Amino acid sequence: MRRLNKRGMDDKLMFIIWELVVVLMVIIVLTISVKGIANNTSYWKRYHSADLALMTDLIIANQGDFSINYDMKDIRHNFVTRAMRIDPLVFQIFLKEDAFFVYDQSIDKDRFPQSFIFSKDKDVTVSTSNTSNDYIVLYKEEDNVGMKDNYISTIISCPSEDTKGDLSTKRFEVMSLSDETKTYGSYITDRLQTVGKGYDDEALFTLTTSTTDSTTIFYDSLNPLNQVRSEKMACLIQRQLLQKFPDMKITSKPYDMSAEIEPFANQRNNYMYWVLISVNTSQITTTDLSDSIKNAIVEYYG
Amino acid sequence: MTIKNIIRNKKNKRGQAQYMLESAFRIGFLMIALLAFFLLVNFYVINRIDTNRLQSEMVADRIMYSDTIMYEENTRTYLGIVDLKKFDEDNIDKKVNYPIKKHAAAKLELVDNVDGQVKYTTYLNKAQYDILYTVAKSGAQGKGDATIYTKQYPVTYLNGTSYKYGTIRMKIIIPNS
Repeated sequence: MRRLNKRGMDDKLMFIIWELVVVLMVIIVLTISVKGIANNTSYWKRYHSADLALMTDLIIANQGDFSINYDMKDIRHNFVTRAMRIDPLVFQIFLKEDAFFVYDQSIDKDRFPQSFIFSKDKDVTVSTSNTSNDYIVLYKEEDNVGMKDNYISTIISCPSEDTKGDLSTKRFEVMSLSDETKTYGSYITDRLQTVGKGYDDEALFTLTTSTTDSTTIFYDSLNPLNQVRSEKMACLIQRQLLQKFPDMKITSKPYDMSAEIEPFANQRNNYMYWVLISVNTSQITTTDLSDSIKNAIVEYYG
Repeated sequence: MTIKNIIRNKKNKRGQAQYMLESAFRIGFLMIALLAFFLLVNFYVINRIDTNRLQSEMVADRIMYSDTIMYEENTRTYLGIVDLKKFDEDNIDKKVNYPIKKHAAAKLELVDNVDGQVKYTTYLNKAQYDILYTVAKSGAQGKGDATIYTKQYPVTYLNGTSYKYGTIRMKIIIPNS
């Protein structure tokens, strides 16, 4: 039997062990390197703070109401980060008067936040707030900019047509097309007496009963001269009602002429503009509707 | 393998030299592979966010697409019509007011299209503009440096009651830090 060269085998074994140690070290170094890159929260803090601040710059300059839904879900969470047991990114966002601050996890756990400034405007105020939600809404309402963590924004933007005017010269008429809305009509007429008692036939508010569970405010879509006025008034009433009933289905849309109602078709031509409100009488009370219309009129005429 | 054998084998210089030569190639290759790995990772992984150009666009938009210098009537802003009453430093600094003045600075020149002359000049953060302009023109490199971005907008400008055609030339300076 041939004898094996044991001395040569020992030498080779030593080098194989040494090589295995080197390979192991290389694997550890690579893993730490990849984990360091994948777990780099500073980049994402910087990214979100710059992104949010630059968007706020735009929102401040924007004319009229405006909102942006901003998704901060961890887009880099994948099989690599899961395999390395890296937790998804969670940030706490602070909107200050002139900057965004982004903290990893929360303000208590992160001593080194990233921030990015935006420019202020003397005519615009910024409402400070903070959130840990991964879905935020940046908005501008009137002259105020802020941040909310509602999932979906329900801000309604109305036409910005200038409709300022002297209410004392205007006359508003209310017409009911159904028996259920007659009580509403008299309530609204009483309320409108407090805002406009003039002689200029300005607007016609027509009421009808909704056959569905929603309330719809129709506006003039045929007359191009009056469409914007009618649309703006419908939008303002919708916004007023939504403030009182945020969970109710309240919409505004162009009037469907195919479902024409006779007395309304004759009357509306006597006024500058009109809206038709299809009211869900089981949910909206006479006071709510009359108050909403009155407030909308006050807002409309400035 | 016993400790005794290991010690004995260490004395086998010929064997060591033979495997050392083999390993030298392997170690060399490993080092090249590692170097390539780190170079590729650093090349493809973006850890730096450069927002300078975007910031310059934002400054330009804040001035041109808002009521900062544009004509307003009954709360409506007429974009593209420059109101000379608003074309001054105080007004621009109030409407585009950075809490850290070094963040951005700009120079606005209103050129009359008829004679091509600069009729009016105003600034955003004038003190910073003068400093940053010198730095940007010095050719310095690195974090202390600044970049100049230029933009042009055709406009109509309102001087009293008369409208004239002009061009806004804007130089925006953003520090590289």
